Amino acid sequence: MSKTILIVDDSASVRSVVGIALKGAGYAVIEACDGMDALSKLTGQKIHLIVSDVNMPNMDGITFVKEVKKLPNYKFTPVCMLTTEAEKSKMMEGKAAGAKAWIVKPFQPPKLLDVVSKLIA
Amino acid sequence: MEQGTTVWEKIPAGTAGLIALVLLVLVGTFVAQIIALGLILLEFSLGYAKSKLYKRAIQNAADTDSRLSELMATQSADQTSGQSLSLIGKNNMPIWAHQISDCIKISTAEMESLTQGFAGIVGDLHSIVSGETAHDEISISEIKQRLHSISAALEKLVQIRKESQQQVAELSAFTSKLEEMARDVGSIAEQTNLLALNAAIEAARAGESGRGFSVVADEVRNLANRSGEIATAIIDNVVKVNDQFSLMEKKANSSAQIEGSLMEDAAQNIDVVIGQHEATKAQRDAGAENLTRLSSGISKDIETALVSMQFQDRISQVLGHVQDNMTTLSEMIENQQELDIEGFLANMASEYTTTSEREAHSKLTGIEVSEDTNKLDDGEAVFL
Repeated sequence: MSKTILIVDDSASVRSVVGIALKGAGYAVIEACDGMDALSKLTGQKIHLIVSDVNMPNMDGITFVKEVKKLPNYKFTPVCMLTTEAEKSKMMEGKAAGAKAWIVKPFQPPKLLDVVSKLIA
Repeated sequence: MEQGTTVWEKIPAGTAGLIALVLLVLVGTFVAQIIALGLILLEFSLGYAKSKLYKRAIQNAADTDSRLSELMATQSADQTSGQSLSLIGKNNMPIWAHQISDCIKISTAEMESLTQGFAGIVGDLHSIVSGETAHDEISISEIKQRLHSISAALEKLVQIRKESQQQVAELSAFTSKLEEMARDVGSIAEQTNLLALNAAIEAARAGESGRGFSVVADEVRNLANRSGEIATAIIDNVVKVNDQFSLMEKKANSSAQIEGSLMEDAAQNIDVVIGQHEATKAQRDAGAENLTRLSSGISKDIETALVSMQFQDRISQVLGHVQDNMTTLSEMIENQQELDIEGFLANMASEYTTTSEREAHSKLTGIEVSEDTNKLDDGEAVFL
């Protein structure tokens, strides 16, 4: 039974790239186009990891992480932020919200998989 | 020009010369001559001074006029520029913002289509390679299993045939014993017949008293003859059964030889077929391995290309910010708001989401955009 990862990004091309990298490593993938869409998909099924963008319409990534931490079934689900933001202050904001890792775009798939395996293990 | 007029300039030219002339005519003394000469020199001095003052005044007037013209021209240019800027803000900038928006939409849609297409290719390559391998494994496994089961069935058939031959051989031995026993019975019947004959002779000698015994002797003799005939019939049948057994044995031996030969041929053919199939499979495996290697290479190339396509996300963000800023600026110009350039730049800076935007802003404006000088060195941080 492969582990399931939720990808949250408003860019479909980024979702595709992340999806290819994760599927190639044997993970199952669910996609959402922003924080609101992602919350609507957290309906009880087991999610082992969330990979989320920061700057998105409707609901940004930091707010999304805070909302996830309020959900009883998902408050312990690790979240990895994947964003163009490289500012440490922004990263610390993400960490304070509950994110477990921070990767700056453009990313290299092996690096993403390395972080994912650390978070899921 | 009135501001440049002095007291000296108000005195009519030639006044001093006229006074000097009157003094010379009326007085005519040396003192008067000296005074007249002084007045004449004064007249020359005043004339020279007035000339200089006039020149300076004219020059000042010309300069002032020039500056005024320049000022008017500048005001006119500023007015024209302001009107142009207003028109640009009202008409051109919304068009540029719209065109940037279109560019973002088109590039995003095309890039999505492209990445999904590439994703499909990568998936298909994985499926082809894994499907080909799985199919081969099932195929060779099934063929081997079926051929070996046929071979095993043939071997079992030959074994059963051998066991049947053995049983027939055993039956043949039994029938030989039966024949021997039948011959013994025949021999006993002959001896019984002789005994019955002797008994009949002895009964005849006894006369009337041996008549009953003679009847018994005749019956015994009949039974002996009958037993002899049955023994002969048994022997005949046993001989026929033996002949049939012999025939069966010969045929069974012949069949066994043929089956053995067929079995050997079948086994050899099976080995040949399996060998050929394994050789073919080895070639196909080599081809599949090559295909897998090539597919993996293509997949990696496509994945690398896909990674490069992440630029679209950053470009969309940067162009989105440019679009938002143009829209804001256009609204400000259209509403004739006072342009607070510093405030506008600060607002622009607050919207940036990429390092390249902040660096460009700092480089071009000299204003440090971010107080945070710490950047993630390798673009990754894990907080575990």
